[in-house]
Amino acid sequence: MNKTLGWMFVVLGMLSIGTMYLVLRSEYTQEWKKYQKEFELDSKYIIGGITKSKPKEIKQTVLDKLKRIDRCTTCHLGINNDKFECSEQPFKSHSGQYLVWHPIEKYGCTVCHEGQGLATNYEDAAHNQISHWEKTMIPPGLTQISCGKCHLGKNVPYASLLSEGRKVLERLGCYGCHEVQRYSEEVKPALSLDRLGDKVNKEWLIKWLKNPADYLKEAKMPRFSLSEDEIVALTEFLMSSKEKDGLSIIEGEGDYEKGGKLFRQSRCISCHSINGRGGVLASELGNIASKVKGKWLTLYLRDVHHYQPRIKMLQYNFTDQEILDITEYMMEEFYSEDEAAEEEDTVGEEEEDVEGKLKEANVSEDALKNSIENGREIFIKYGCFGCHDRTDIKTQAKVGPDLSTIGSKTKDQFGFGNIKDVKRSSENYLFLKIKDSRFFDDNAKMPQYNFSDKDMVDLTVALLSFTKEEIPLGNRVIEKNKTKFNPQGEFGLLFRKYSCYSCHEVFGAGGELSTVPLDMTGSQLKKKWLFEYLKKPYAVRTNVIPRMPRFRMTDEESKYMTDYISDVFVDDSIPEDFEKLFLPGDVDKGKRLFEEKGCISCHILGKGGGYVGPQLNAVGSRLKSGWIFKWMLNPQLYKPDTPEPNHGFSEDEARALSAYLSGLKQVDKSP
Amino acid sequence: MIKNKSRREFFSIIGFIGLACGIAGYIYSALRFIFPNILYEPPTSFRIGKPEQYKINSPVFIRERHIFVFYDLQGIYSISSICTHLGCSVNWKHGKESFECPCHGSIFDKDGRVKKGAAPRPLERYAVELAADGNLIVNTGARVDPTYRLKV
Amino acid sequence: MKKNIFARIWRSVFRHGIPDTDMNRSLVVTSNIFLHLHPVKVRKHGIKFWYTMGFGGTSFLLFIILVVTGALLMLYYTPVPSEAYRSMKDLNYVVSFGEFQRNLHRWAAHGMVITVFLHACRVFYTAAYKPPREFNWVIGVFLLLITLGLSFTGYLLPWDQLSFWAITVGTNIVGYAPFIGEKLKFLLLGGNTVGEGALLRFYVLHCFALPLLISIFMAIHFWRIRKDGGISGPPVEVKEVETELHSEKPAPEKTYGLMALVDGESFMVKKEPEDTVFTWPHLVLRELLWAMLVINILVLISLYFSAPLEEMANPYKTPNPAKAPWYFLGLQELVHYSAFLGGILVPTLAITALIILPYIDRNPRGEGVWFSRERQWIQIVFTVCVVALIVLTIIGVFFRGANWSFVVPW
Repeated sequence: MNKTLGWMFVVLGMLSIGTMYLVLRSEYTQEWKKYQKEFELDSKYIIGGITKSKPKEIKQTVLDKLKRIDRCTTCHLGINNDKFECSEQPFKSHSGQYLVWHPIEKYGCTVCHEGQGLATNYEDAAHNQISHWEKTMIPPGLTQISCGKCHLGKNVPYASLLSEGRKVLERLGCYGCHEVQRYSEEVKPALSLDRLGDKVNKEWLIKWLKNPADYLKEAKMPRFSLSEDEIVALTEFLMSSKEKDGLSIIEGEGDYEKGGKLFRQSRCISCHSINGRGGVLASELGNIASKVKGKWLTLYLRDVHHYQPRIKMLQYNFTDQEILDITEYMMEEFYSEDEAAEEEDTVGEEEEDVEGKLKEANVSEDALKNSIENGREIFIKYGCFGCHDRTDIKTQAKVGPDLSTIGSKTKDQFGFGNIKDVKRSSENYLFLKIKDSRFFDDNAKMPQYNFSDKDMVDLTVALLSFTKEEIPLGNRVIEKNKTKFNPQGEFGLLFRKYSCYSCHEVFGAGGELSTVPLDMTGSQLKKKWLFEYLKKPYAVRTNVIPRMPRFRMTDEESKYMTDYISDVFVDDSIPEDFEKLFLPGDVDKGKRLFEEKGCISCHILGKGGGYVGPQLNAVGSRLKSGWIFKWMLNPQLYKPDTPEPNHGFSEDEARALSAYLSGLKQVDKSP
Repeated sequence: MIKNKSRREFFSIIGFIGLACGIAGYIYSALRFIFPNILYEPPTSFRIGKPEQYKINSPVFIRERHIFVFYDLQGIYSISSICTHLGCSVNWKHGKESFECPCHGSIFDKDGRVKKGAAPRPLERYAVELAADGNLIVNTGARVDPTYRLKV
Repeated sequence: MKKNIFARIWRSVFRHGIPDTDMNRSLVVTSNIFLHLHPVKVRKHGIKFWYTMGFGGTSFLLFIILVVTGALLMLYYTPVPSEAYRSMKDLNYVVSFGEFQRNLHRWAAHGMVITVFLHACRVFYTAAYKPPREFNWVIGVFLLLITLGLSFTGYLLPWDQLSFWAITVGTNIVGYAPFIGEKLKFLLLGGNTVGEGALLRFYVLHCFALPLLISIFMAIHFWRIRKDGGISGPPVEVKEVETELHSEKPAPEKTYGLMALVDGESFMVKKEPEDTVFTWPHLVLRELLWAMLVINILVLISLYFSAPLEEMANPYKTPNPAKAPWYFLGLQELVHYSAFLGGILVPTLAITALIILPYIDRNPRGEGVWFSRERQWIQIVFTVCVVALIVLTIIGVFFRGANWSFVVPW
């Protein structure tokens, strides 16, 4: 062996020892081992000594169905133990009751929090963005995104951002332009634009198209950044749709005073708002006179569903004269002159161009035709058909990108464009895009909404909850399937004419304005009372603002509806003809009970009483005795949130009360 | 010459020590490597619901865990369904109040003791504990003696 | 004399004494199956480091490392798409030394591709394929191809984006080959796209078929080295063998003609004894030192540089650019200019040229000398090709960005 080789052998031998040492050390200095050791020490203080030190091990939750393996608890050792509430991460226990509802063994961690559950060190677990792992941990404030993966309903408990976001999404009708799987069944979010030319003033339409918020601050319609030429063409196109045979006009003069009375009597503000006050179901009427033509309004009131087949509004049975009166009142009353004058001042200059162009366009018929054609293209280009019906435009694919699985997109799949100084994450992209639709692209087609900051966050959360992830059937929380009640025949016609569905719930679906579901009204209410009530509704509860509109139903209609309701909307658990079972003495016993239990403190009877419950004078004419009996037995069975206390009456007592109350009949005043 | 030789030996020793350490280290790492640190088997300790879910004197077989859960007047206990003979799964015979192994005819009584057949030992008994949330936890890693009962 | 039992056991294992005499030094080589790869004595020229630079030996060493680490990795690997990626993650995060073994395997594989290539270059530049070694060069070309095949098939196994798309691109290059290309691709993938079938096939090829094949070819390769006269070198000047007795016997004057694989006389015939040294310890020690150095470097690399593992393979999301494994990027670069050029012409020509090289290069001079001036022309042609390949590969690896456009890596 020569000297050089000998030295090399020595050096390489030492090197081998060194490298092997490094290899072994790398195994025993892993991050998670360090944490487990620290946790052991911490536990001694917090729990007061653990019995024996367990061997260091990787803890994991294997979730076959959710296709995840989470090893987070290897370091997050105190996650399930309240005593570590105040510890520092990674030992801090989980906040809230979430782990009780979703135990780690069943749900793991990354189902909600994302990140790389397989990793066993801080960095690779994707607490922050890392390369080569798509799903970074969701920022703590936004974890609700994940709730939405399984909780498919509109209202998700303990996830206010998500629930609110879904409401915003539905309210503003994002599904008009974007495919959103869960909303594919929804009807178009805005009104039909057929025959718009008869309805609105051209000047108003131009202003509206420029910026809907100028007319109505809370306008649902967003601002499309259209050029003036586009506005002119679109206006011409929209105004070109008119009744084919021309408008048949209701002749005559209206009476302002009578109209006003009628307007109040009909309880229009149950649904409509006037200058922001009133109902929320329907459109704002505060400045309606500047928007619609009086002529159209008369025709509309005469046949609502001809103009808007899917509108929630009901059809009043006004006479022609009444229509003229109410139109007169509305056109007179709901016109804010200040505003109009003010606008003329400020907009005047600006709008001159547009109006000028409009006039120019009017010059020749060819030019007009051209303009209408352009308008049609613009209508299609911006996807107006997504929200508005227009029968001469064919249904086509929605203009916006599909949002059904937007939560599964990775940050690279979002078009950040050339914007450099923003954090590249999907939540950031969506937030900025919603905030300013042209933030990333100056030519983006998406219109500009007027969101509050909270709405934007909520909506971002709601959108990100739409993922591709396949959730096993058992883990999906779906709201019970509400099929719409769709009666046929004569009653069906009346049901739709009076739009009962807009306010009342029927068999689990329908509007929420009324507190009374119609499901078992047939078993609850006496026919005679119902017949009268439909014709002339009043407030049964003294402390509730009357909202049921006065339809001006004819006797036949009322009779028909009453018959149908009594036959169909019945609950088999409520006995009919219960009066037969009353025993002599029941009335007295009932009266005694009524006084004993202090019912009078909530209900009005005679001249005094409380205002919480419905008044009981003549309750016997209103309610069927079988219903009273069942109700007394267990009010919460029928209305879980009723303030009526459950006194735990026996059947005898309930029968006695029913007998007593059924005896409180209306004194027929009218001859 | 002597100096030369001793130097050669020195070189050899140091070099070979290094070589040996290197090889030993690698072999250790390879051996450590082949011992799995995690298992994809079901966990040895799992929840089986609350005591109220079990009827007295009517054993419940939890198929995926291979255990029977018994609830009698003294308390709750769990028995492995794996026959100690050759690992078949035993069945509970209601009328006879005994476990029968379908493979080689071993029969065990309701406490898991061998009554008949080739089984060398009684059926395994696993510890049952009551968790803070009221759920029962069976730990198949902890074997207990036949008199063990969880009082509820 | 009563012999020690240990000595007897020792004797039963090693049939020679301590190799400090010439006799034992010979025996240690001939009686040991592993050392028997070597001749008892080697030419001094052959053990000079700067002659071979150990490329061939290093390739073999790396192959051994790959077999050992590969066998270990197989314990945790499942060749099913959904499981394969998870098993990679398990190796990285939970198996003790898992990442280390994987890194070793990965870097040794890349290293082997490089050293086999460099070995080929060395053999060319020292004209070591001259008769009688022509056919061994051909075997060597096959070994190079199988090495590439092994590396390529192993590339898919992690089932991440990197591997998935590299194999997609790589197999599509295969598809360009004339006549058999499409069929070959179909066969290789067990379908039309990279999927479950492809993964299993690549796994079988990588862990069974190709290792078996390369072992057979290696055996032939090594055996032929011995039979063709050991490591090449400049022709020995033939001198009259002095009749004086030496400590070792000259090789018998015998001609090996087994299966006509070897022509001519034994390499020791008529050669000066002073030109050779004993394999033990001269060659064995050098090999040991070199192996230690290589292994140490490899271990250090594996400690500080992790094998890449990207997102799980997603057939619906193509990374931009999608690159083949780096050793095929020269070809991909050519395919970018012309599918015919890169997919058919160049690889076909290159492989054919390599195989027939020893038969067309009839210039008998220059053997055993680096860059012999006597074979300038062929060296210039070869160098141009090699440089072109390296340049194209470097461009492909470092200078190609999204849409295969030219980018500057810094």
